[in-house]
Amino acid sequence: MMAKPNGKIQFKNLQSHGVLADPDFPKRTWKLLKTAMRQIHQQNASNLSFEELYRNGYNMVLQKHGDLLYNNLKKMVDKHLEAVAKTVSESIDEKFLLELNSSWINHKTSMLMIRDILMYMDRNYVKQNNLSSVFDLGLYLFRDNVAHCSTIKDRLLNTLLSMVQKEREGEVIDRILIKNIVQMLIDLGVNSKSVYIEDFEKPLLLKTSSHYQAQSQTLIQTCSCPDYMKKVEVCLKEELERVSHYLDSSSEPKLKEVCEKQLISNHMRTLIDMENSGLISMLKDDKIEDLKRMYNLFSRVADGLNLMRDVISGYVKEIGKGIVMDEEKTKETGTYFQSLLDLKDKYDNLLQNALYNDKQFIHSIQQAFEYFINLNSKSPEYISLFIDEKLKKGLKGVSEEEVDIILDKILMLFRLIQEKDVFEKYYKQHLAKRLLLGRSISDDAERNMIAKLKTECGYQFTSKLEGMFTDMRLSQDTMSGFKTYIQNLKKALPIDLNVHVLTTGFWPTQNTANCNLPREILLCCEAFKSYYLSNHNGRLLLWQTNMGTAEIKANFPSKSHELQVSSYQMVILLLFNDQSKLTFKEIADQTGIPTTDLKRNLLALTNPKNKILERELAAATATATATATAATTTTTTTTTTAGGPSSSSTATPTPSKSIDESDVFIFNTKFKSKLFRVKVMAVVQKETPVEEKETRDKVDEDRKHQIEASIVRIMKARKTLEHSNLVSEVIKQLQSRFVPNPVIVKKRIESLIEREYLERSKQDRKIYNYMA
Amino acid sequence: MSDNPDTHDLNSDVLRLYSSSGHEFVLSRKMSYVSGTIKSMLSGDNSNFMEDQNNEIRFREISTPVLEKVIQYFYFKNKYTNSTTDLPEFPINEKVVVDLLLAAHFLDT
Repeated sequence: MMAKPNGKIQFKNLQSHGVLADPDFPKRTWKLLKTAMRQIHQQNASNLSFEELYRNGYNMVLQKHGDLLYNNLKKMVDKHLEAVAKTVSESIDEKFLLELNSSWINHKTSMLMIRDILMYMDRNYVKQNNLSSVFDLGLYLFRDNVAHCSTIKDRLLNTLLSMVQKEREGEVIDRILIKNIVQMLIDLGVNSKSVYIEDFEKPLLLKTSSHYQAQSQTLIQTCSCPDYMKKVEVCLKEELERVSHYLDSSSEPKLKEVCEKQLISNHMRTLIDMENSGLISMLKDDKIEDLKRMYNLFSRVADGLNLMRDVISGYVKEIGKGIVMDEEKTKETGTYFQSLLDLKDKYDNLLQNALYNDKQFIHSIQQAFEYFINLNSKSPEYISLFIDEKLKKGLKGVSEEEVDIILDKILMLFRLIQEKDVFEKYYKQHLAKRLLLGRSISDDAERNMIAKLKTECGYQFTSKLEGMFTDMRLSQDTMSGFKTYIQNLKKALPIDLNVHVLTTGFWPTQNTANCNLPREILLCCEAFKSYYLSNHNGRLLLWQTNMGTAEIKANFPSKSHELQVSSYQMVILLLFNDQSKLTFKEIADQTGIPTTDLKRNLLALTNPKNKILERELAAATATATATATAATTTTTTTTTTAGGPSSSSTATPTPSKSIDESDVFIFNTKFKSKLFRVKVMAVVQKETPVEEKETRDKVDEDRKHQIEASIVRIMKARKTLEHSNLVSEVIKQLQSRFVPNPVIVKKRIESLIEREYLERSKQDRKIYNYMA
Repeated sequence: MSDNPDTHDLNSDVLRLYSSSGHEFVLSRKMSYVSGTIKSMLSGDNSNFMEDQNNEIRFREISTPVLEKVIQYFYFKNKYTNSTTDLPEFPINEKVVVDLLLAAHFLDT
């Protein structure tokens, strides 16, 4: 009893009692079963005794009449289904599916009942002979006799397809019926979906494909790109609903693929290139929604996003190039940079709102920016100038957070610059000017910027910049010390001297041909020098007269004014205390200011706006007699320390409306200004080509050292290294500052070999050894 | 063979079994589901056989003592399936052992 009767226990030699070995037994029994099954087929089973039928089936199998039972059953069902098929195929159009469905449901019920009463046959005879179980047999028979019946199969398919088509065209169809029929096809496959796939899914996919091919053709010719995409979205949504309503879920990916191919893949290029509504014009007009839609659709198909990305990045490059190469814009550094920032803003916005911050898109747009920013070799300078402008005035009245945001944006562009060392050079220059001339509006903003650069490029990058700040602070202390010192000496100085002591190396010092300072100032300078050196023994102070400023009081006949001028201008003006008329040469001789600077400053002084000096061309005779009682210097700012001389310019570029060396200058007695304090414009902030070249040379020189340092660092760690590996390591190490040219790297290696830092390996000339 | 609790209507929970000699046994439907045959007789999909409607099954080939033993086994099986206690012996009279075996086979128990 506890044993499971799973075929292991056989009753071959036992005969159920009560059943005699009756030769008519099988025939009689079958007749009985057959009648019963007929009734089952007619849905009339309530008079049948399960026990009786089961017992008969049981005994049939037990007495080795299983084959008879099985085959007779098959024949009977076969015959029954033939009749069913006939009824179904004779049904009229609308009733066809309904009829098929109901006969399917009936058949299923009948087969379940027959299966139950013949359960014993399923368990034993069928299993032993590897036949289909009773229920599966019923499915096969239904498939062959009904579903695949010549009068039904094609009709079924066409009916189904036309219903789907109707639905695509907006009609309402009986989804439940279709779902049932589809489920029937799935069931008929027994253990696979082969019947469903062959009989319905494949033709459906073909039909779908041709349907959407035709539809997309018409749509794309009549619709704009956004409209087309909207329609595609609707179609795709509908198809998915279709699957969930009455198709097998395994069809979803296939159907989706077909639709996407026809609706998207085949038209991607056309959509992108569509005039006035394609990708480019969407970008132009900031059509965020449409771009998002495009992203969503294109992300469905292979290569869709790649294509989109390429086009976007190409477009960004083109636009960026337009800005970078635009002569007009590059003249105005402010607008140049602002337009870059705007562009960046625009695409950041786009990435965030339309492209889901797709990493690959971010990357390719970044690359596009990098590409065009570095196209213009002046970009590092412009960034620095832009920051300069912002820090000088642009950030006035702006809250700290906003300053932070602006600086962050600038940094984003800065990140893309390859020649970061060039930027550093300019930044230093601009920072120096800001600090020395007190132009910076916010010390916090300056420090903020430095801190950002530090996080971006590391300590090394900003150490000198930070040094500049330290110098400024120390100078303040020194000055207050100096003042006390002077007071203690009980000796009043003729002028109020303010000195910034700058550490060489931190500041972009230029070689200065020192000009001849007026006696009063010289006196003060000497006083400071002796004070400073008494505190800091062994240092060398050099005066950087070209970087100072002065406030002088000028008494014009009509009115007296306070003039804010540079140190050079002060020196020039003071000459006119003694003489009212001087030639260029006289000025040059007496002041000792380098010709270029002198010209520049004279130009500023003769500027029509603030005409402090009048210029006469060489030939003209001076008629005006000037009584100049001018210039008592009040404040001077000057600068210093031991600085290595660097190359000086020999060429003399002539600034606009050039000053001729034979010009004569006269103090303008008729000078008039509404303001008491007159600020003399500093001339030419922008670099002259020569200076530019100078900066460039300096950068190149610096790079040499950096490359060498990097080579030595690497070789010291590695001891031996192959040439190409060394070069690539060097490039990797220096990437954060600039991208070194391999040729230059090679030259540096050679130079190091000459100086015996390295040697070529004796075995392989391509390998270098480090020499300790 | 396993106990499969079925959500059959509670009103028809009582089932009558008759032996070949007409002896009536009354038991819960759920208990009888130990037999695969009885189970499909009663709970087949929409089968509506006579037995299902009348809630009674007549076994023409099972004698009273055997049917009694079978029903005892139904309860035995239900009680100890998934039980953690030690399984007691199920007593079987040697005289009915062959008949019982046949009945068990017939009933798919």
